[in-house]
Amino acid sequence: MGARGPTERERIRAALIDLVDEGGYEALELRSIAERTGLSSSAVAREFPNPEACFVAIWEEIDAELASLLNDAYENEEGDWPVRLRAALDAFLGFLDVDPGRARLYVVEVMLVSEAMRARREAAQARLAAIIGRGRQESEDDAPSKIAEAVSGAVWYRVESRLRRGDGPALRAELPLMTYFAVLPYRGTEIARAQLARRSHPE
Amino acid sequence: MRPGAIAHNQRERLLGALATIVGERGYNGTTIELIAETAAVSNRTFYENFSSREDCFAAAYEALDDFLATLVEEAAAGEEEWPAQVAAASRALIAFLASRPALARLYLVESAVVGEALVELRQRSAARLTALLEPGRDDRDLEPARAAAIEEGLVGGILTLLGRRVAAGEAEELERYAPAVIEFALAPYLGADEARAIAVSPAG
Repeated sequence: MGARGPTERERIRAALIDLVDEGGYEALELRSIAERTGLSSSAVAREFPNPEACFVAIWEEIDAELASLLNDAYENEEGDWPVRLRAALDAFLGFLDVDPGRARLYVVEVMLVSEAMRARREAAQARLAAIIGRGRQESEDDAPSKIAEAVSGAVWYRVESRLRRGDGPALRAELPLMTYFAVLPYRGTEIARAQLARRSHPE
Repeated sequence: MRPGAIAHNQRERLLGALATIVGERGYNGTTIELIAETAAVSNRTFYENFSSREDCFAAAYEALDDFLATLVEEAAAGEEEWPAQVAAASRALIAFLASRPALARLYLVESAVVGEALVELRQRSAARLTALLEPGRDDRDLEPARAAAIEEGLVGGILTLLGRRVAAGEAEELERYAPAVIEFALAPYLGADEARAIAVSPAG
């Protein structure tokens, strides 16, 4: 494998992320993707019939990457559930921190695309809720899974709100707080508070 | 009727019509023609009252939010202790939304779809709810920035949890979620066990 430039698809992905970051989803046009990538309009149109299809395809790529990252972080971490959960949350926030434009596309702009994409975003939230819900040791009723949904909702809401404001430190700085939220319902106040006291970046 | 009263009446009808249509079809399925038709006014009358569909939605959201703010404040005012206030406010909010699925959809689900015009209004709405949690800071050594982040997370988690149920067409069943909401809201302050005890204790 010699050095190679980015593929058409990679160029389109980078352009899409930039354009959505600058003007939002609603201003997105295939023409501007072509201009930004230097590809011809027909080359872009061969890949994607319209801006929505392009957005959806790239969103799905990002989602798949994040899903496997989250899962690997949880599965590969050794230790008790709070430790593994923390690793998963760290992977989630760290991934979003790498590219704030990509994070805004993934978390914020997707809301404007379609009903179907809102459902896809909900599925992504449910994935995090499932990991949080593994903290349940024994269940008396189904309340804990509602709590897991609320915790996952809290994490996403906080991330969305930070991305909209576009200010402040990296999202990873929120790790102790988010772990605290997730651990609290399942392991009680003392173990949760220990998470608050831990630093965000152990390395 | 005086002309001013008719105009006021038309505006109210348009807001009500928007809420109905959004409840049935979502924001993206709502058109100005449908709103006007449902309100039994002309498109021109619509434009005399609102500059756009977005503008009309924002006005409806704002009116609903004002109503909800009063509702939760009054519910809270009926209790002495802060944890009981949070529980009462949560139950009142949830009971109302369960009784009005179309408004629940407008408030919790569709407002996220509208875009920039709603960002500030949604923030204001969330801030009103976080204000209810602020007394929880007393007697706890939380630095203000951390306390604010906890409050924002709690309100966000609750709105998300309820919104998901409404989006799934289960608004009428929201009251089943009241105990989980109350437990979730109080646990950071009281600990999980005490929060759960208050959440499952009978209302009032």
